[in-house]
Amino acid sequence: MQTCSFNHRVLHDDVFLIDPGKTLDNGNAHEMVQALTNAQTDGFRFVILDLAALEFLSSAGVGSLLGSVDLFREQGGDLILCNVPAPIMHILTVLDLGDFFTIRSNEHEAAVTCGRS
Amino acid sequence: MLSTPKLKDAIVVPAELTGPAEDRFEECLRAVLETCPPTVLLDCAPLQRVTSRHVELLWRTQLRCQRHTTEVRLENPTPGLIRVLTVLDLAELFNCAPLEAEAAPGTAAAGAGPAKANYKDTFGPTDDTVVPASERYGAFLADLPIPELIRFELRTIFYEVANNISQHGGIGDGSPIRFWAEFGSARIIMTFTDTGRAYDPTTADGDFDPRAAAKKRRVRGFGIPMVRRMTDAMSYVRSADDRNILTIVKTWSV
Repeated sequence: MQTCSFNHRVLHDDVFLIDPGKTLDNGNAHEMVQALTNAQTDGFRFVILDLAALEFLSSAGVGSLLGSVDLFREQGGDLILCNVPAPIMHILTVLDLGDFFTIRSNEHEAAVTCGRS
Repeated sequence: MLSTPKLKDAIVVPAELTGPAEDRFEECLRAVLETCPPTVLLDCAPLQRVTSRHVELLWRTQLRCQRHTTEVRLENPTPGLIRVLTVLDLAELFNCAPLEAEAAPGTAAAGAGPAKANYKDTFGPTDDTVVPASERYGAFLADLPIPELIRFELRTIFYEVANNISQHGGIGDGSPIRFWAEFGSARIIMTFTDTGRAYDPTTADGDFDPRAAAKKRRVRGFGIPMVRRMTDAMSYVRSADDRNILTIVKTWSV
């Protein structure tokens, strides 16, 4: 498996969980793109992003997710966001992304969406 | 008996400076000046977004009126217009009350209560300085009675604009980005000035299609749409000394 610079866990054969930490901005957005690309090439159809600790999401951070989501959807998988804090959800809503991304309230529900529980 | 020239009805300054709209403005001004009024009133209510062309129009009008010894007064100036005229030192010329002076660098104004505060900062155009500057602004906002989500938006706006300038402005390290913020009455006016390449974000498209962006694997270019959607008014002026002056107004309900 390729390296991932964020905290991460393998939840199942095809489900990978990433915790981006407190900030997803210009400083680490490219690392997120790389982490998601690596997960996809490693065979994970689903990536769950646990955003519980996320305090700041810049447009570059949004771009890293938006530019990667179809990697998974085109393979029948998805990029799923869970534990989204209110301010981060607000940013997604402002950009009309609240309905575009698959968003679940917690890791368990996200795993269920991936067909796992 | 001498007749006293009357104040005329205000001439509306058009928001969209298309040929016909600007021609109509010029015709109205010409007709009013032919009556030699002591004062010409310009209704600036439509100027929710102020561009350098609006300022040029106001300046041309001022010069024409001076030749007729006629005073120009602005009616219903928007906060963005006041901010721009203040930064350009033109507020008094237009009999428009300038905004209050800025506070000391990086701090709120001394003695200012939580209902009113000013902030000023200067930082270099690099990632290393934009992030700390964003944190300083966040600390300033934390002491103000602002709803949490609005505070989050304000810090996001700051970060996005500052990053946009530092990454795309082509500014040398010796030329800092200057920032002012004026808080009061459920409103913040933020002004960024820099000496980078001319760029008017008010003309940028605020819309984007998430599905198309995802399909194209697009990872950049969301900053301006984000800022546009979070602000109530935005104005841009390229000053005569080649500075970009971007003013952003954000309001909220109490």
